Amino acid sequence: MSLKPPFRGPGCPAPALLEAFSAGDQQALGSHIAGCTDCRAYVDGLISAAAEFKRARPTERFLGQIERLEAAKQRQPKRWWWPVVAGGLVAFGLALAVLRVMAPPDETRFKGAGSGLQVFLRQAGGSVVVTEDQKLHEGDELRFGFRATAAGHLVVLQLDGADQVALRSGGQLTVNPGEIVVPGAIALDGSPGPEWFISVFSPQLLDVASLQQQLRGQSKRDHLSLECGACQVDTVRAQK
Amino acid sequence: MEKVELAALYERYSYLVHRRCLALLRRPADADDALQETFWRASKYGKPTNPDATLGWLYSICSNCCFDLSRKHHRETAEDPSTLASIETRGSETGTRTDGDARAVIGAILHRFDEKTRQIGVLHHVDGFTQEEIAERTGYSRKTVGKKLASFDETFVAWWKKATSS
Repeated sequence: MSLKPPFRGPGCPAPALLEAFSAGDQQALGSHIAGCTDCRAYVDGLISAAAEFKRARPTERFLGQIERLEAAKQRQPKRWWWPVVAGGLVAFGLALAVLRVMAPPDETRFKGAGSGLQVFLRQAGGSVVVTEDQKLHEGDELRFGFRATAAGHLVVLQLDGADQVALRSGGQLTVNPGEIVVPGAIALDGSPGPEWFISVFSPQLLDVASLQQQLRGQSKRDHLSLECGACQVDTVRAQK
Repeated sequence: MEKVELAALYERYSYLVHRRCLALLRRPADADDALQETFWRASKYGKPTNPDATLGWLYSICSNCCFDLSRKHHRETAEDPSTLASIETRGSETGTRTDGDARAVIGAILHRFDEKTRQIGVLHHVDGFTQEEIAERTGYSRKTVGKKLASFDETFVAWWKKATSS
């Protein structure tokens, strides 16, 4: 057994995929690993080390640490604001008044197709941008792009005609200003109805579960409704 | 994410994520912090769409956590040459792909790169993906991946020479 990734021979998967296999994912690699001494030794080493790690660090203890971390994070803003409050209520009030006049509204901004979010349909010879209410078909392969005007956090969601909401960006992405190609592609299933593609961009971390919850039940509406603070929501609706 | 789901995620992936944290941050205490932060963020983000890609998703969160932590602690060049040499020796034990010395200091220079270069550099040097595989996974063109990796490697070599000659 070895914790050192093996020399990657022809046909050997990347070490990260062997690691995933050791945790129970990527089971399709099983036949290769069974027949490859080096890969198997690496996987066996990882499994053994993981078992030892779990014995040394029980789950309950870790969950307690996460709870304390959560509590500490909730306390942080208060500690940060106290000096401001102590600094003078008058100054704070004035600053607030100025912010109210000068700052953009702290509310969710909706934009339509062609703004921040772009949906690309794969076709022979290249990709085309999906336009509003374009007809799509089962098996169509789509990718997503986003034009960020500032650094922040991005998620791309899909709301289908059955009101199922899926996260299509793999997770919450941290992005810098510029053009972003969202990793991965999706293939449409055969269920009929509207297909909404929604990007949510915010300078703050997003609550993805809340976004998904809010979107459910809205697929048949003409316009989506979403509350996420000072975030930007871009939508593209297609038909199937 | 429910507590029970978080517990299941921890039981299945904690060792691998911690190992990644250790490889990037090189300090056990920092790795422990990054492990907690990674799972805390994961609990806020919800579940990944492709269950077979859960580890990749966690690794991605983990890399960002490690980057944020190293930036917060300003620990770019804190290692003295003797410590660095020790890390070089230990590199192969903490999961190196090819060069223990290279992977041991990847974490130290992550902050020097933009998000895209950092992502590509970690996928290649830490996860062991080829340029073609990175292009396929990220959607970047093969040319972009090659250019970003060249930039990553150039910065890395310059930093490594400077660190080991001082």
